[in-house]
Amino acid sequence: MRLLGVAAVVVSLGAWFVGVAAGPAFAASAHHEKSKRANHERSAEKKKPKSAKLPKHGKLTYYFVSHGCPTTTFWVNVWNGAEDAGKQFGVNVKILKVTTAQCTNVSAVVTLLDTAIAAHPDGIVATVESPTAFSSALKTATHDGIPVVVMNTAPTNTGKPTATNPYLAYIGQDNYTAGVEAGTEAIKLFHLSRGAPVVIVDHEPTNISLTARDKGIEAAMNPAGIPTTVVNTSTTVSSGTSVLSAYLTTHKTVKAIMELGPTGAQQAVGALKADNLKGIPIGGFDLSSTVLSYIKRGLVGFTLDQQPYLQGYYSVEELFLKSTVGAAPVTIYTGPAFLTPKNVKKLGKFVTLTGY
Amino acid sequence: MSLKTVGPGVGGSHASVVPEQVRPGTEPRIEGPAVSRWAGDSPLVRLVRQREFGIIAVGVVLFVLFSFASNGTFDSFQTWGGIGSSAAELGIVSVGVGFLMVSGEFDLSVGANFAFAALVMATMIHDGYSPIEGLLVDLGIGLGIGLVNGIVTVVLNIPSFIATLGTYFLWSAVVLIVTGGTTITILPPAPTLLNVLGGIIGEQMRSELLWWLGIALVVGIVLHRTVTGNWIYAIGGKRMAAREAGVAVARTRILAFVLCGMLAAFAGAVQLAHLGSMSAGYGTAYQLEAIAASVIGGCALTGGRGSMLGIVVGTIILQMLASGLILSGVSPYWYQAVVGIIIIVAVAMHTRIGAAVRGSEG
Repeated sequence: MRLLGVAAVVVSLGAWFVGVAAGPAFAASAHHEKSKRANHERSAEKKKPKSAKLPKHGKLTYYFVSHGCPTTTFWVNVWNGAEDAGKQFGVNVKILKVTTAQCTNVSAVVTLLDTAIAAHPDGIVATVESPTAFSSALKTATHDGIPVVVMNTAPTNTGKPTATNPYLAYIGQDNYTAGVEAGTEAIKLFHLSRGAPVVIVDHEPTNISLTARDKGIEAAMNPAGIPTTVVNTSTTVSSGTSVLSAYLTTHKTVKAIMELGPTGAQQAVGALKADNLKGIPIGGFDLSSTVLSYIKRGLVGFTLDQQPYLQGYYSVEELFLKSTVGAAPVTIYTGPAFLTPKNVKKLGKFVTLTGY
Repeated sequence: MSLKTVGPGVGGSHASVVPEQVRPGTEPRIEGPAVSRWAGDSPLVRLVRQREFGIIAVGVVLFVLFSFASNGTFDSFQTWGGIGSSAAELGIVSVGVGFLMVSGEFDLSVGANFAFAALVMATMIHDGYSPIEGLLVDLGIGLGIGLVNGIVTVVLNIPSFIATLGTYFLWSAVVLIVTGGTTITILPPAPTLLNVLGGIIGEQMRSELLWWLGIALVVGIVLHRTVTGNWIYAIGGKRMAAREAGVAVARTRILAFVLCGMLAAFAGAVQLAHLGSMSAGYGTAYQLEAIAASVIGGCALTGGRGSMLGIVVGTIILQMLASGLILSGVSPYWYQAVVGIIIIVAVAMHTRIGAAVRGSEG
């Protein structure tokens, strides 16, 4: 009897699994049928020349592999951009994400990329956050003839592909240059003078993009005689806030805070509030609805937006044009775009439009 | 089903010891009458009565399902090259964690240990030390961390869950203090030792897979065929009885921690070789995944139960889920949900099978 019970468990597990595995697959194919029909109907209505006709294509599928944390607003915007592009071009965009526990774990991303390559899709969008870890996967993809576009994080500062990391193009920001620009802007905007200590909040010390920004800021500030200290916090807002708050309590001379992303911005604003400190300006990188409200309220002096929505959108668009008309993907820098309390009103509208 | 029935003694007081594992300090496995009715020699019955049978069946079912659902991409050599590679690194950690769990203890510090030891090794190679020296230091750090875990748990008499939670935080912080969070990269050409630890053999097969299976085999022999292994089961099952039976309890428990620590550090070295880089964030989540793999494979949280085959199969199932769901077109958000359900189903199943094998349902 016991064995029968076990067998029943195995069988029902299997049955449940078929349901789970097949459900979305059926849904996807049904959806595809629908969209195919829709395309067909659309092309039949020749009297509507307003919308540009899309190049003809079969069932195109792209995998979107990134190291983005599933709960990070920045990445939600990237994925929104990729999904919107997928809908507009009528292609399948499969977004692969690491789990929240794996957010800093590069090997998990490599495994996702290996899996995506094994599926032999029509193209892959990837982030490459190590100069060596993705090398063999990228070579395999090239060998198998799968077009790869890298977005957001590239193995080199400029985003240029190399022999060890072959891919077609990079869509994103040159983080080192962005760091230099942020540092220069901060000196000007916050009137930083020689000897004024600046704190750099690194909320994800293992991320090479953030390290590149950090090096850029240092390259702009240190030669001007402005000493910088990096405080490593964490991807969790609350615990990072207390780390920074403790630092600021013991280092009263700090003249400005530079953060490297929205998480760091929240930690900086939170720490200043916790310590009841006023008059220490904050500047930094990237945009979220929270950072937007900080800028509107004057809590953050400026942020460098790298336009995550565009990074997601352009990556899929470039693959689509490569698959359909054979256009060679080109490197696009989506940032930095400065956002300050002065231009926030005008740019804020665009920011809301793109789903921040 | 042509089950042979046992001759004359059916239903009587006839009892036979299961030729499985005789563990000092635990009562011999007695078969009750209800079970002995179909407890004949039929190979099928003996197969089904193996503790790992259920979980292997789940693995086979998953494999078949994924192969159908993925349009033939799942059972490709390429997929299994990828699965094997990431399974191997988690798998080496799981061998240690599972071994420790059989002795009734946890190690939550393996993820931090993994990154810390491998980062020191990476830094050494980067700074011109020979890779062998790096590997020895890596293993030494793993040994040291395991020893500290063992001594804190055994000597201070703190539950290992708490002790290693403490050392997990400690080493996670130390690794950031020492490295400042930078990623250490060893640019190609990689030294020979790194190719041996984590290079490519043939087309897609990675050498880390062989390391994992080799280590699992050796530790499996220790666990199932030696006195030390018997002691591990005894300590995990009934510690007081084991002590009375003359088992060197403290020493054996510390030994299990040391083995677990060294394997975590070695897995770090293997991943360093595989990826060519290492950073403080790489080992995160391994402690929980290793426990999940062990539990799926049949290790009891209370100790005293589990097998090396089960731990290996548990790891493979976890990796199959990760890749198989993606290739079958399921939203990756499902992965964790499915892992959670599989854990519960597996434990429920192991408990039932355990009861059936012991014949304790009367």
